[in-house]
Amino acid sequence: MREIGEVLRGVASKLLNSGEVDLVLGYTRGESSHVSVPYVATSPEETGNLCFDGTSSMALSKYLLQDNFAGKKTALIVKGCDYRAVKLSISENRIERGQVYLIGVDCPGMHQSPFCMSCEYKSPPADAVDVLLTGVEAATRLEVSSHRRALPEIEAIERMSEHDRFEYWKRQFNRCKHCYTCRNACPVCTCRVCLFDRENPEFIDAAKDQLAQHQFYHVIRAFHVADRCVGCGECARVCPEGVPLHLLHQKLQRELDKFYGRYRAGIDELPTPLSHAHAHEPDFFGKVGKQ
Amino acid sequence: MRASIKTESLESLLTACEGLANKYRTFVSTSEDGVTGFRPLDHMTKEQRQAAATIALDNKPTVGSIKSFFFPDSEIYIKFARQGRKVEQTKLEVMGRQLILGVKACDLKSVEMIDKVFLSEPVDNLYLEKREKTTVIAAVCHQFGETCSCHEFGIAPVASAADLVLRRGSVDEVYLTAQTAKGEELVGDLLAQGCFVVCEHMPRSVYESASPQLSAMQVQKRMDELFESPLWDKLAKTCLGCGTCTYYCPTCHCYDIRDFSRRDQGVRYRTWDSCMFSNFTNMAGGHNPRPTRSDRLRNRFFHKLNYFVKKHGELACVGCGRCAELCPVGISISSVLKEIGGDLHES
Repeated sequence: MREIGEVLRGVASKLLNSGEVDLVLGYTRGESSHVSVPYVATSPEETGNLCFDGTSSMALSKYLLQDNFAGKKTALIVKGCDYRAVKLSISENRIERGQVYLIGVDCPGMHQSPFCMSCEYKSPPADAVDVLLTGVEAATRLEVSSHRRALPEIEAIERMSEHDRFEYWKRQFNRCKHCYTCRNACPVCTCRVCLFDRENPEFIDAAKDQLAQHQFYHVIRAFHVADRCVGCGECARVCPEGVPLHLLHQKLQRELDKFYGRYRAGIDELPTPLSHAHAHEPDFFGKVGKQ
Repeated sequence: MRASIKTESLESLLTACEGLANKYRTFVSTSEDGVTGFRPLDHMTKEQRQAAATIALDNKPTVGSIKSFFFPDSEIYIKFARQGRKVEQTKLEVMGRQLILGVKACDLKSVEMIDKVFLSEPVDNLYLEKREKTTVIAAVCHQFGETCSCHEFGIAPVASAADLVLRRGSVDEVYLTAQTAKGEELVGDLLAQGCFVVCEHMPRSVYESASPQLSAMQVQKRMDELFESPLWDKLAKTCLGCGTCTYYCPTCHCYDIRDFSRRDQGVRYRTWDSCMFSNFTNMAGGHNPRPTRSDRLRNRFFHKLNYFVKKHGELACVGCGRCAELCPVGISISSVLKEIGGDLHES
């Protein structure tokens, strides 16, 4: 069986050679041998630098929103979760399907990802991508089981007393420096201008030592992405301070499922649960909704 | 001859520091939820105290650098309140003395670099006050961490700018050598605590001095040739535009000044800002001289590898490796130094 990276380099080279795409957005080996970093191949020769393995965790579709990809047809490597983000961005009119060539990969699971051990969507659907690469060697494949309970940490936090739970999140948030890495790496955080890059509203402030400001940022962001979270785990991976943001987003998603039925972003069609409202739905912020 | 003292373990040093709580607030490098950083000794859990024994003496710097002790991420410096038709300033609490334990040579060197900016005329008094009221104990590294490259920049593991240098003995004992007047004062304070003894010999580190391998001049010259290079566009394609590199870099020191007010009272504070953010150079009226990620990324690396050399004669990098470790897309000083090519070493 050929290594997936080799097949990938062949596909990428052919795409650039034929002029079918202008760029191939994938991964290359980082400075250290156990990381891979995003890489843009612009010529068939450069495709030799591409690689894919259990460290290629970065969700790449976010880059397509940048000006330097505008008007260029880009081939994009997508794992199962990445495809969900791409589908969401396409249906929300942030990415044009015709602008991208999707190279799906049957994902072996990312090392140290809290999500991959219980992932149900490793591979993008074969009919949704332009080509689907399989054949990651069994030796490098994570033991993935959909029966494994996903994120047991959430239940551990649920079992805490209200006071302990508040202290837990206070301690986590108080380390935040507002570097916005979580926001910038999140493939479904796709606003054109982020609320936190604006000079107003006045309640949002640049202070990094105020718990209220940490709560504004993380809780507002959680509500903006929870129903659209595709479970790539990047927010937690990139955070320099190790804030387990994925737990917050996934907990909210579980709560939403209780009220609105199960919704899987990037698999089920729009609208997402929080992007619309019906008169009969519970209104937690209204006069009668409070339980 | 500078005074050296020793005690049986780091734990007994921590206990002695607790005895000095009236004089200094002590911060020690340890871990919280798996992330290394400096935490106040009076708020440390038992586990964090135990972890300090390995982390403070480890061969790599903490995730957050010590710059935040002199240049906090947010710092209120004026409080004001309105009373009737008058606006009055309210007094701020005067900070006490602080003691930082477990600092690495790279971080100390970065403070010397920030000194050049904040302590030259006009002196930044907020920074100066913290520098004067802080005593730093540097812990000597015994080998290089995975992403460390301090040796490239001529930084020896024995931090020359530290008030005291801490060395590990062959067992658990720790040796402290004073290097400044503040260091001598602390040695006196610790001896008075009773668990230290004066010693004449102490373990030597692997090497006590280093000379730079990278030539600041060569790097600066090479960068001069690259202002219009396509390299910056190439790097900007994968840059996320977040503030991790700047906030965790020990030599980055840009800030913003803001007011925050509610009803009849408010504060003026300064807070870290990042040249990687699009609103960093956004002007009133909407003009932005660095409109693209490529412009901003180029500016950051020019500041480190070119402008700082022209102004202060050295590269604004200490090889701590934080950017290499924390940048989610692998853009770091060392990766850029490789990209720019040319012979950058001292002949």
